Amino acid sequence: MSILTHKMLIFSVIFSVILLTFGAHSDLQGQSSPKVALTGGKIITVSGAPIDGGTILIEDGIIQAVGDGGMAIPYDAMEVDCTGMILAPGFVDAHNPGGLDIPNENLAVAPFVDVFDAIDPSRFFFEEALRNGVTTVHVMQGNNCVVGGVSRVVHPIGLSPDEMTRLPGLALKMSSSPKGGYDRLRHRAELRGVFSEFDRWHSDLSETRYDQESEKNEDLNPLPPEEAREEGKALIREEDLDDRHRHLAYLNDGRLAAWIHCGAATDVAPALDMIEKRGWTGRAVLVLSGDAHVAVNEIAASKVPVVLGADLIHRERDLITGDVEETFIPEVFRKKGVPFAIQVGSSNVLPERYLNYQAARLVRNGLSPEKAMRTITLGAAEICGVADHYGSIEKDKAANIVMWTGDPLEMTSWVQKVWIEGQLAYDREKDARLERLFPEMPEEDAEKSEPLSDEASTDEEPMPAETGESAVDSDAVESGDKEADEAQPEPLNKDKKSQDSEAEPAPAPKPAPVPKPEPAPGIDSGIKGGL
Amino acid sequence: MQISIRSMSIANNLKMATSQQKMRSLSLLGMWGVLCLSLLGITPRGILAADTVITGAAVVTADGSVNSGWAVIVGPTGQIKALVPNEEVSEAFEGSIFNAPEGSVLTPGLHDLMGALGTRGQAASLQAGTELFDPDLDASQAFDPTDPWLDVAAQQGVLYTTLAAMPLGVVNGKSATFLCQTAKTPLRLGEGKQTMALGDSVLSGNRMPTSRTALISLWRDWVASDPEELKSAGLLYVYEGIDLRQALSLPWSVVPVFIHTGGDARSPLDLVSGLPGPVHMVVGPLLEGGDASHLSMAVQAASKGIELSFAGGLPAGPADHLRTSAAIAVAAGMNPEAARRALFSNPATVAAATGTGVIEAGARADLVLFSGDPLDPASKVIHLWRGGEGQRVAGTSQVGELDTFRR
Amino acid sequence: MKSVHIYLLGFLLMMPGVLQAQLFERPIILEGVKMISPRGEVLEDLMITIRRGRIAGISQSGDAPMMSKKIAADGLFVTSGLVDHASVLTLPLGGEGAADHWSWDAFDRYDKEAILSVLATGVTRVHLVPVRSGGISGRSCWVSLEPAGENAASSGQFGVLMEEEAALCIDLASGSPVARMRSYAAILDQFSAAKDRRDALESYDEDLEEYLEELKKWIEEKAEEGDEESSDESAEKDEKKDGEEEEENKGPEKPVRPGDDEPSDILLKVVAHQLPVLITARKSADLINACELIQKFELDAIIHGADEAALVMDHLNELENVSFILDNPANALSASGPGVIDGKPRRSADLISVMEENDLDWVIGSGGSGAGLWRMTRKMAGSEAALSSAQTTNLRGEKTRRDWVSPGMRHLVLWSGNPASDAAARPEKILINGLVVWQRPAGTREGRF
Repeated sequence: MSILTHKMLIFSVIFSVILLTFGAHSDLQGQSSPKVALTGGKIITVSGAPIDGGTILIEDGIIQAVGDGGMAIPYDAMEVDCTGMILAPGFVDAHNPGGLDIPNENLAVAPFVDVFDAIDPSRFFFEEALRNGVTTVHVMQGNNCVVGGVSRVVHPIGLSPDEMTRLPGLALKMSSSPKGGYDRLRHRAELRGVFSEFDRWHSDLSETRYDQESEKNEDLNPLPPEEAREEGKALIREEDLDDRHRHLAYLNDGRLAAWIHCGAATDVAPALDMIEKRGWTGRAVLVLSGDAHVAVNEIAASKVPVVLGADLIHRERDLITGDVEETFIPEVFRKKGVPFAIQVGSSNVLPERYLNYQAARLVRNGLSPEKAMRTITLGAAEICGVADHYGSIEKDKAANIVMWTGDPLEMTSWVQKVWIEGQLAYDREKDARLERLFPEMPEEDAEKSEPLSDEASTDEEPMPAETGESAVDSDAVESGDKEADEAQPEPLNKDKKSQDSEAEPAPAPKPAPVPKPEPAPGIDSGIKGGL
Repeated sequence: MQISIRSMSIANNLKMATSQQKMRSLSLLGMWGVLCLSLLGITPRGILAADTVITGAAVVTADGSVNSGWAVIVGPTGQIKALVPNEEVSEAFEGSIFNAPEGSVLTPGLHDLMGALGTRGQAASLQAGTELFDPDLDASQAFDPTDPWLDVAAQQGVLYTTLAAMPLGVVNGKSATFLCQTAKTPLRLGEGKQTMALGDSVLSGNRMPTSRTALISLWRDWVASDPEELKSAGLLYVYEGIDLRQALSLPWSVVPVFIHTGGDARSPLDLVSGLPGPVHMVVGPLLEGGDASHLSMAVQAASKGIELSFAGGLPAGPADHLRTSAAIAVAAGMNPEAARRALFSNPATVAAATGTGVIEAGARADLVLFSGDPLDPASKVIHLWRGGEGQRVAGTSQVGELDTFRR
Repeated sequence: MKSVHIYLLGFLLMMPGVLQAQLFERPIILEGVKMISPRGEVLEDLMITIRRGRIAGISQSGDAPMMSKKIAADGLFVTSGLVDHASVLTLPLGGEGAADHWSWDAFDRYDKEAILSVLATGVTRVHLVPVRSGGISGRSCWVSLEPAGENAASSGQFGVLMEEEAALCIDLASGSPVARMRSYAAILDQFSAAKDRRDALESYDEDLEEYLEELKKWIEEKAEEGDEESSDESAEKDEKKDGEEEEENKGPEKPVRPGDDEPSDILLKVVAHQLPVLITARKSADLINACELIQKFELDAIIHGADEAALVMDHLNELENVSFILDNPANALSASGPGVIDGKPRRSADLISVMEENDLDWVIGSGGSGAGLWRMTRKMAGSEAALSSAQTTNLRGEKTRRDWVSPGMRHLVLWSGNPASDAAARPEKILINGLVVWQRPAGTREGRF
């Protein structure tokens, strides 16, 4: 070989090596999950102090680092500027049958049911969850059952329940309060019957398994039935469990938690009794409603966490004097040191269906804002047993982060963006439903439509909804300003329009509130924003 | 008739006899005459009948207290002649002596208010018509004296029944009080009172008024017009506390009796006790397992000085509902004497049944002998008197032997 | 010797707290109370000492033991807590019943209003009977109406289970006549089925014993064979072994265990005299059915209701060892009136005297929540027998002296007057286990409990 080819050989080798390494690197780069860095926002970590102007580094859907503004950001990370916004962990909804088509079965004892079969990803519930900052939902059956089914933890994005599922098989729902149409005698007898029947089936199965094993294996002698059942317990395999008893067997083995509904104070003791007798201590939660808070002493002594019903205030009317006594239920539990989570209500009239509103009610009645925030994030995650992954903005937790325009517990803030596991799951700018409600008004049409609007404004009153929407979102700040500049001369010509203008409702985000006359009076302003 | 012929022949002989003979004949005639009349069943009253005295029992007086050591003299006309101390009843008393067993208590008869006793189950006949103002309706039209339930009720000690029309109009006619006796003719006691109503029962929906505001303004106008019916005390049916409150806002010249069988904690008892004179109120039968708030209201009313009576409802409901109501009220804190007044004397005032409800001279002799305090559930009815006619109540072997002497 | 005293003192001080508490626990004194003896005499000016919740002594008023707690009780009458033998306090009524239903499940411990209103009339112990619409209703239990739970005084819970399973309740009295007939037939079937199950269980037990013996033998034989065969290594023997093993290795046949059937098991307990039966029967036809049921299965029975017992006394006399719980359903005037054909049982006014004449044991229960028990007892039993009936804790009506205020008693009621004779006597205080569980509230709350 000539010297030239030798050099070429070496060169090509080196070149190919370089190509390989960098090429591979570029391939990897194409395959790798995006790195995202959220910078500049005020971070409510929940597990620690809030960080102003902090940075969150996300990779592969996991939070890699949380720090203040000085933290170094990898060059290949996509930076999202959150200046002026608040970054909070996504809310954890500790107990909600909202994703199901019906909250309860008609069949009283249905341990074989799994919410997987009923979760409908297209339901409005999940869409609303995103819009209101809830990123983790524990979907569970309702309270009207003897033994309900098995629940799971999902996040509200995904095209199928499989995609949505984050933790399958969390807990089995039961109720110690009578199901509708039952009375306590029948209900408790049935509940006892479920478990005695399961025990019987389990012991029969272990005996059968032992006999099978002893037939196959010579060294294993057939034993008297009692001992055979004892020995056989360890021999039960997954395929031996039948559908009717599978979930009960998981509950027995410790693979499922036990969530028991108590609708009255007198139902708490039997529930606690059952928890102790069946060995569910440490993985049991009580779901309370009605006046079950009266039994708080028993609950505190047993150290079982609770999930409180949506009406956080209990009203009782004295039969003889007619006086109404109100009790704020979370306060009762806070005093005794019982960890609690709260639920959302289903009212279409009251804002109880927003988790941050429920937390704000806690603040109103004396809980500190930090504790209230913790109740709907980390506290709820702890009760569900998923606190390792959800509930706060910390290293190594799932990157479920919500960008709020203000304090999440203020009713005037709203959700701007939601990241679920590092992916942008919701962006208010692109919210199709809001866009239908408040369509974008292109600027040329605004000028053309003036004469029309003149008549329109004489005939009709301007709809308050339109005039209200003068709060601005951050990205449209510049366009808003432009519109404001354009609109400024208009009020001089059209007196009606000046009536339409009003001061912006409070919290404007960073751009200072500009009293905006409507750029296109009588027609929706092109500004989408908080309702 | 033989005797007549003989007297006739005697009369013939009279003409021929001497004056002595005349005298003898006349006296003979007289005797035969009397014999005739007595055989024909005509006995001149007052000649052969005598008084009855009931001794040995404690007596419940008008103020509700149980006083022992008194004897009651019942005249032959069925009226109480006098109340005398036991010592004054001598052995030489002319008349029958009834020695009551030890520990027994003599009371006036119990009074079933607003019931349907004597209507033969036809309570619907007590319904007023569709007229709002019906002052001429008389509840006595519904009363059938041959109803056998009347005697059955009397066995339980209920000697009076007051019927009133259902409160479907503003003025619902007159109430009527009768003695509980199955007989051919009714015995009405007193004239009865005008029955009025203010409450939801008047709003029947088929005619005006159809709302409470209309009803109240109707009432105001009527009261302002100073009608005849309101010149004397009547019975005002106010079922709920709000009805009573609205009634008290009207300018009454004479305070009516309030029939308040649905009251609870919201009843304005302070306003009622502020009215002049003893105010009478009828409260619902207080039964086992009944409304605790109504019981509490009744007891508080009694403690504020309102005179209570218990509403009845026979023949429906438990037979001893009046005594049960009283016992429950006493157990809840009512003064026992107020409870006895509620059983005996107050209903007479409520029903304007003159001469009943009290044991005093001149009152009717409708008496019940209990084996103990009438408030005590253990005491039973031993003996009855209705209009002076005594009747032993049968079959109480637990009471023991009575010793009664009749001379 | 001084040293001994010092050691003794030291020993006393070092004793565990429990012993110290027992030594130094303060007894509770009720002074100046009056009591009614079982013979009916009123004993005055007594002092009752309560230690550790129970009556330790009853004596004439005198010196109190040292460091005693005095409860103001001057001039009050003391009786033991009244007992309601048929109560549905806080229980729901109606619905389908079954043998595995248990009345304690439905008892609402937090229903303070209802429980206090019953306590206020002097009733401290109730026998909770489930009332369903015919057939086997469920099992009853005994509850003491004292505050329960940790921090009992302030927890707001009432009700401590005294006896878990008192009786199996069967209702032959509710429903239309046809429904009653059907339910009676169904009950007979259920009892027969229970008897069959008992036979099946007994035969299973026998079979199991046989099997266990055979198994032991088989295992021993197999061990011997195994020893022999392990020393022999020929292939033929192995083949033969395989063939034989298929037959022998199965071992003796195991008997099949009968399925689980809790209602039947409960009926079994009844048939085996481990659990008495409470049969609710009012009309004469139902009473005759009840007698038939009792005789057929030789049940240990208590009859509840028995309104028309006077009519079927001959049938009832045939039964051995049956007792009665009488209650007082609200009888309308029509029950005794002329010529009314209605389904209500016709109850004679002197039912109790008829029972006494026939030497049958009886107790009185309220049949309702229990607030009217004392009134009802006085009305039915008269003044003399009322107290002895109301204080009996024995479901079978065996009235003993121990039911009256005597040493060892834990439930006490202090009355404002003589409850046996004074119609206006009301409970002033109720003591259970030495604690004042209820006290009559002061005047402004009259009418409230």
